[in-house]
Amino acid sequence: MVMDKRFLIGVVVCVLVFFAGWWWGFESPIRLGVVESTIQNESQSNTAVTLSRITKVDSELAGSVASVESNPSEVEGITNTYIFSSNHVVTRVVIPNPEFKIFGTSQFESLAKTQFENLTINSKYLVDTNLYELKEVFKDFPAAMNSHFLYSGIYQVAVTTCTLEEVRQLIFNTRYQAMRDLEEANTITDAAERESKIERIKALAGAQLELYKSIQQETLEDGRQNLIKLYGELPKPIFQRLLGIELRLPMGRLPYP
Amino acid sequence: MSLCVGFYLIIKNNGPDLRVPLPDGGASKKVDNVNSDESRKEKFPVRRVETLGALAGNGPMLISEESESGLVTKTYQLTPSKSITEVVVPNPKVPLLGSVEYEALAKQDYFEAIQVETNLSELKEIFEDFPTAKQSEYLYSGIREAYVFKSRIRQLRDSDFLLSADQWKGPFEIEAISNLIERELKARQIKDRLDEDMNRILLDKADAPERFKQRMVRLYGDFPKPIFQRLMSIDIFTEPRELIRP
Repeated sequence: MVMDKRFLIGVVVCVLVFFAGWWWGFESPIRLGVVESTIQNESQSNTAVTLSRITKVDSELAGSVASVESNPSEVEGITNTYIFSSNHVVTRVVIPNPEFKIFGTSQFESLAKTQFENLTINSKYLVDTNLYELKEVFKDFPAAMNSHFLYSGIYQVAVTTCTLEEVRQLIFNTRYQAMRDLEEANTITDAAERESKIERIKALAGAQLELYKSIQQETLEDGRQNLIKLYGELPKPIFQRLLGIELRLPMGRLPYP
Repeated sequence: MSLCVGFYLIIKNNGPDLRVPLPDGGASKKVDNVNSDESRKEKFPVRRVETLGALAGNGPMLISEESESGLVTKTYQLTPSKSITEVVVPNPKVPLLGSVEYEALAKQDYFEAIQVETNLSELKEIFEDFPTAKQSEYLYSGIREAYVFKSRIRQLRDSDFLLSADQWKGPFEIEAISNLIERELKARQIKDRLDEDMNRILLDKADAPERFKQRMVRLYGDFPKPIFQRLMSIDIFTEPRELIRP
């Protein structure tokens, strides 16, 4: 899979919590009458690639505006709580891969370089030439070339683009599932029950889509921030060029104990 | 585009041998691109060849030919015994790319569509960093082409996702058959159909950027790689309307 397992586990946990909250709390008449301001607590850790900056989640389908609380965990990572309406809560736990504890160090650079070479010049298999394309783009970015972190940047871009693609698929699957559920709901003969079910399906899909869209934004921003951390700057055209290169496969986890 | 008319001619077993000798290449390899940076003047018909597989010429292949009028003939060589030819006839009400009329319609459409598709401003920003396009009289034609291209890429990506999402249906179709031989036959048919659909999507995904680049070179004389890469990063969420003469 493109996304690392820990990230997926986090997403699964949040969806499960969401479902539980949904079925227990949907009928609750209590709704948030006031749009709560977004609470942002950014982690100051240097190690977490997937730590999130949170944006307000505005779901038309859910008929409510979600507020988000983002709390750094005591151990590592970050826990995001999305409140779509009263009793509708999504918790997303993001735990960074351990190798990102050393992100921005020469040890990480060395691991990333070895991984890059294993997938290109030392590969026994068909090489994804787009890895070379990424390197070519970095060559037009003096700050990266003059730093000692060229391969860390390539690895970071690969993580970002592959995660974005995975989230795109999650968005598609949510729409697809909602379409199938709506088809099924339309066969219910009792009008009141049918309408209620349709409303629930739409609200649930809407909330999930908003969640994934916020993950997309966070992924982009986290990727950008990590590259800035490495090089001190990141011109928009360079970032766009890097994101414009699709990798067929992710670069895989770095062999960090 | 929606108003274009597609004709599908399925030729089985006796399809034309459209293979051309290709060098070994990656998953997708462009072989014959008549249009080049040196020649602003387009040589019609424009021809593109896309192949899949580690050994070029040994797997599925797409040959596209585009005439000056905009008529596109696409031949998919999916298996050694099956090829599909698709002819896309352009809507005569749509002006040709590179005409003043096209530019005027593209500009008008830009200001209407940007109300919904806000990322069009990102496309414009990128084209404005491309001096040839900015100084030409066809800035909005380029933006419009990028809009169509990115929408097409999104459509193909969704088709790809849909194919994966629909895979649960296959086992149900197979299990519904009690006869063992018929069941095996059905399983084979489903697999072949999935392979074909997937290969067509992959070939179209490989062809779409090449077509876009060819059209940009036709419009501006050249098209820098960095500009293309930047455009690739912009997500488009809507489908463009057709540019039709009033």
